[in-house]
Amino acid sequence: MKRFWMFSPVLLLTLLFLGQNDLPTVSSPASESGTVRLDTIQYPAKVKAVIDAKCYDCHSEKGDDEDAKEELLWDNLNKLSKMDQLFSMDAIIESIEDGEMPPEDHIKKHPEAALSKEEAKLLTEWADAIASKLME
Amino acid sequence: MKVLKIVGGLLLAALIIAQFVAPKPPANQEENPGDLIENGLAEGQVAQLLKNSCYDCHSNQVNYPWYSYVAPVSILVRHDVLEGKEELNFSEWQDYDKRRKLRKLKEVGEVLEEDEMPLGIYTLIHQGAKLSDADKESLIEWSEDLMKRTMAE
Ligand code: HEC
Ligand code: HEC
Repeated sequence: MKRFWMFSPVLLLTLLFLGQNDLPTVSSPASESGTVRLDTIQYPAKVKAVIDAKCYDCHSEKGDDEDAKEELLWDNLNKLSKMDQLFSMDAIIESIEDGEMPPEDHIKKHPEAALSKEEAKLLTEWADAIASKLME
Repeated sequence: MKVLKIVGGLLLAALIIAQFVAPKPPANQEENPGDLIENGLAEGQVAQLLKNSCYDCHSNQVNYPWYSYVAPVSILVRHDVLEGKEELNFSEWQDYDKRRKLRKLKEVGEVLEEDEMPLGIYTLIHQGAKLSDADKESLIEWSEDLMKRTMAE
């Protein structure tokens, strides 16, 4: 136990250092062409809560379905080109409107995973507003 | 021998009953004011290719051969046409908003480049719907061109 506490400052410093290293990429995403772009896709708290609860597990690095990750990675959206962001927003809207997401077989096993009407509306209106902005 | 006869008889009976109870493929629609080709957004050879290779699953004007109404083929055809139209319906093209048109055109390019469409099970029977490399190229070119025109709208 004593040994552990001796190491803890080192551990803390390491964590801090790692954290620092992460910061620049988070706060100033540079697109591939080298131009810095403002993050067009912002998540109001309510929207983020729904995404975290109902979509994120499959569509993030921690998901284990390759198809889901290939189609949509929330954490990557702000790194995409404007056009691909527009396509992502449109795909999100269509998948919710057609009742394709979350997938039917998933909802069968976990009924609480389904989107409520209000949640569906919240997400589609959010995506629609971003899509409109992207097309300006 | 007797067992074979009974099994055969049961199968035949099931097949006959299936003709009455299995759902039929979705009906066509005569009037399609929003149709891509009707609106002049694809012309000539490209329009021909789309009609010939894609419209049988992605439009309200499917060319149903007689056997497509016979179960169990009808069940497969019904499934493909319903799913196909849900993903992309050229007969209702003008109902899509701008962003969806753009995305569908991008997907058309993708499925052609990856040889995903027309579905393999379809070209197995409809050899004439197979696309040559030149066909694919002209469709891809058309989709890219229509994307530019749609963007400028
Ligand atoms: C249980 C896992 C799971 C959950 C939860 C889930 N998805 Fe998916 N998603 C998938 C899979 C698998 C695919 C790829 C296969 C497919 O399209 O069905 C996919 C595909 C998609 C696509 C691409 C569709 C296309 O064809 O263009 C979108 C957009 C999407 N999901 C959005 C969402 C949204 C929004 C939510 C939350 C409301 C969500 N997903 C929740 C598994 C999931
Ligand atoms: C035999 C029926 C059939 C034919 C013919 C067919 N498709 Fe499809 N298509 C489908 C079905 C079913 C789906 C949805 C399921 C899937 O993606 O496999 C689909 C999906 C699509 C999609 C959406 C794919 C995506 O990324 O989500 C596009 C785009 C498409 N087809 C284009 C075409 C084009 C272009 C042609 C003609 C060259 C064509 N299809 C011919 C049945 C067909």
